[in-house]
Amino acid sequence: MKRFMAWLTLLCLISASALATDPFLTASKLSDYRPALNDLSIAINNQGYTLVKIQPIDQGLRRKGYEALDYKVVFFANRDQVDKVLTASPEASVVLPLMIILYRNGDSIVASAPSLDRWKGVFNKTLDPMIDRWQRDIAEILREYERQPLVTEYRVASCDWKKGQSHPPVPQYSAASVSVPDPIQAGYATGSCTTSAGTDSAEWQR
Amino acid sequence: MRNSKSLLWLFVFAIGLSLPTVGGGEEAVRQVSPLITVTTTKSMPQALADLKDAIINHNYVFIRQQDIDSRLTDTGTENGQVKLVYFCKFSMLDQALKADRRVGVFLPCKITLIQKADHIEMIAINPKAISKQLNEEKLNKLCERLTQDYSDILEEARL
Repeated sequence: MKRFMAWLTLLCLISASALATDPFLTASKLSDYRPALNDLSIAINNQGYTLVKIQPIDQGLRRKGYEALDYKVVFFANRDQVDKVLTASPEASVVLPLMIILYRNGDSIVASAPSLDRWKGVFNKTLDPMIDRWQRDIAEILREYERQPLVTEYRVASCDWKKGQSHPPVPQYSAASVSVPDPIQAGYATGSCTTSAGTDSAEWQR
Repeated sequence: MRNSKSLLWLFVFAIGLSLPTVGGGEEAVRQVSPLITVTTTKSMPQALADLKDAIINHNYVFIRQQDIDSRLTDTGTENGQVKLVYFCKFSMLDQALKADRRVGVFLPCKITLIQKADHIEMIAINPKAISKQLNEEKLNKLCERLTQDYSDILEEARL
């Protein structure tokens, strides 16, 4: 009996702490800001979402004369999900597009998103599974963001060969020769295209 | 037997302790409505124009307006029934970020306009409902002010 009650008490305390959910999902890593923003953009893309907007809160504040560390809000959404929300309960579009904030904290770059659990039951109940899915997807995006470095496969979309040169065969390239210039243009990159015929500029596509 | 009784009391005490942790926070959040909603019979273009005026009248900066499916579909083929209006007050933003860097989750300010059959709903997420979760005293005050501003802007835009 004594042992049973002790276990029951312990179980109760564990359940209580588990149910008191954190209002934020957070991940952080040691990185420069720009690569971290790229990693987050890629993680969002890999989870099936489209980057809708990067809101440069830091630049806005600096322009108005305030001191601001790196701070951006990354908005993203999925077309099919938006359509489902608009059909089931347009009011639920207040939580869209989804967002993750990305800010510097010392040497770390923190990615944080609000927990969406609190929205369950607020809108049409048929959307609750969608809210669960968003929650899972955001958690996965943050897990992927935290794993670094992210390895991204690129293929050559086009090679800009000089006039007079015949288009070379399948180009040989290494990922190190590719850089992502801007996460807004997620999916595209510029780099060099190297073959036995020489090296020239190229556009790459993920 | 005495030990069993003591353990039983410990169990009851543990349940008592756990209840405010599990339910109290939720209850506190639920007491504040998560959304601020007004309706208007104006057309969507008129409602948008009046909302922008109201934003500026309350010393906020209009940032941008977009369709809910902007950048998810080709330009010109957006749904058009749901519009998002973003705005900001930089002094408030600066203060808020100094209080808690996670405040960005409800920045910039946003009002969602939804075209219904015979009216438009203008909806904002209630900052007061979110600040309860952050549990930051300085932020609570800011969010109360922000909630009041949202209500005033929506009321002015509705008329």
